[in-house]
Amino acid sequence: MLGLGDWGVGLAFVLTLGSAALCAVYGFLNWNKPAPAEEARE
Amino acid sequence: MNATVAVTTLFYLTITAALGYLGYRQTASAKDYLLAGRKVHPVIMAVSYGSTFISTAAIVGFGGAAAVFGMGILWLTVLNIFLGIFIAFIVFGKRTRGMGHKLDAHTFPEFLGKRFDSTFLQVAAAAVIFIAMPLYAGAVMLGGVSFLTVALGLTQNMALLTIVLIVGLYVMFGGMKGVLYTDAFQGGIMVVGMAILVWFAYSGLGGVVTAHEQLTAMADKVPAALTGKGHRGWTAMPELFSPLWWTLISTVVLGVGIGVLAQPQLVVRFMTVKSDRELNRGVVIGGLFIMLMTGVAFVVGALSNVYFFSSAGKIAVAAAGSPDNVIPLFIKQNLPEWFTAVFMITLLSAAMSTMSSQFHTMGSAIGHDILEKGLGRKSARPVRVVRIAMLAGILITTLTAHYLPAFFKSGATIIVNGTALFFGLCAGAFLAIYALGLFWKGITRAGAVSGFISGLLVSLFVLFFVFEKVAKPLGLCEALFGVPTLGAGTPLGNIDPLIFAVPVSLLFAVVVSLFTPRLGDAHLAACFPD
Repeated sequence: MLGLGDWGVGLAFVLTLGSAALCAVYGFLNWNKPAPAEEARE
Repeated sequence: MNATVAVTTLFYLTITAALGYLGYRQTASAKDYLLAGRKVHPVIMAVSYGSTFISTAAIVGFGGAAAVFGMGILWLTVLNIFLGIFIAFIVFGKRTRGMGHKLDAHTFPEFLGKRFDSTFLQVAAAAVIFIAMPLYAGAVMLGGVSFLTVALGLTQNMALLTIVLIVGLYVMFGGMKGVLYTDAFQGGIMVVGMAILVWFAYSGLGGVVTAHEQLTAMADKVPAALTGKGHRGWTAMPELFSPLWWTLISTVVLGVGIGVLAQPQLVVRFMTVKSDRELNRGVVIGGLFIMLMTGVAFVVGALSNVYFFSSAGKIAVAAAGSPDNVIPLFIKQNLPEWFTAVFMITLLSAAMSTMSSQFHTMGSAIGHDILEKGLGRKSARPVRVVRIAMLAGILITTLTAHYLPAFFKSGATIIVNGTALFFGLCAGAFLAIYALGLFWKGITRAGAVSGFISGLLVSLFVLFFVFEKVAKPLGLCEALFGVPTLGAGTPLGNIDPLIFAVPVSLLFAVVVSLFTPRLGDAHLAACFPD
């Protein structure tokens, strides 16, 4: 996979990119949560 | 000394000092000084978290380790991002922020003390931090010093004095705002430096897959000493349960990967933002930042074997002399000269951004947690007390940095060991009770105290008598039992202390909590966000 020697390292390489992508997707989906009104109440 | 490097370094130090001064000008209260007024921008918080997390250890120390272990060390990056950013921000961070605000906690020890209604816990946690952190801070300081000696042609002691003066001044006077502003600037430099580095490393070998294939083809070049320990090439995991596998998985991956969750200087970052929205936004920046730091360092460290073999006919460690020299030598031999200056500043930024938070954490541990809260020495000027305590922490760290090389054998190995030691100790002592305190109303004061003490004692015992990397150079086990480590000849000597300490701490905390009186409902209502 991706020119790497075994699945253990291949998985680590993919998960490195995947976990950074997970952070980005989660952050953008929740960019405005909690909503400012809710935050103002808090 | 290269003139370009010297001018760039001086320019960088000037901007850093100016940002520290800006922090000083904007600090008006103790809350500003300790938590930047709890109104920090999410990008600044996330970059500061990342640059505090990543010191020279991650880039040079662990990058060199990747030249030995190979790309299996990327599992640490996976944990760094998934646990160190995603879980830390979303699961731990949000609850810590909400609870920290409700309890009006300004530091990590104060957070524990108020959550468990225990002054003992606040003082004891602060004492552990103040006693153990100089080892970690001294190790990071040495990393910064080694690059300053090259960049400005200074002697070791002059470089030590320069870095201590600059970082010490902007932390002491700029407080948390000074730390955050300089961290964000330094983090920005680190991103640029590492992005250029990975671009050159992959493009020089014809692209990602081609580069990996060339490294995979070198599996037969692994020295016999390493294959005997389980090494199967730089793009494959070590043989299951071999000594190398234990070292890679327990110490490098779990030790640092899990240890990050209970780092006092990182946890306090969650309390500097005003709402959970900032944490949601910070996750985006944090994930990308860590991927560009440890991910790049590990990939480049492993790939350097291809470069060194094609130019010198030797694998990276043999060509560089030691793992610590791999990344600097790789850059010197394979990248344009102007990048040397950029990389110097990248490493200096990594060291200074971590040191500044360490100084701040040490100062607040003594000044705020022990003197003011623990011993009740109220002062009309609490910030001044923290500043004086910080000065004491800086002096102890400087002395530690001065004498550390005599303890461990060589430069960046100290950085890796000092980092792993502190991360492991914090995880052993704090992680179980911190996590239980956030999510379980049933944990009692006695449960928390017993979890803390048992985790700390197991950590210290394993460090001093079993864990080879520390027990051997320390010599205490040799003096008492006549053997360098009680784990000699077994995998135990290679297993990080937190693997033993965290489960023991968790067990004690839960079992003792089940048999001791719960904290009052009014107290729990004051702790938990609705």
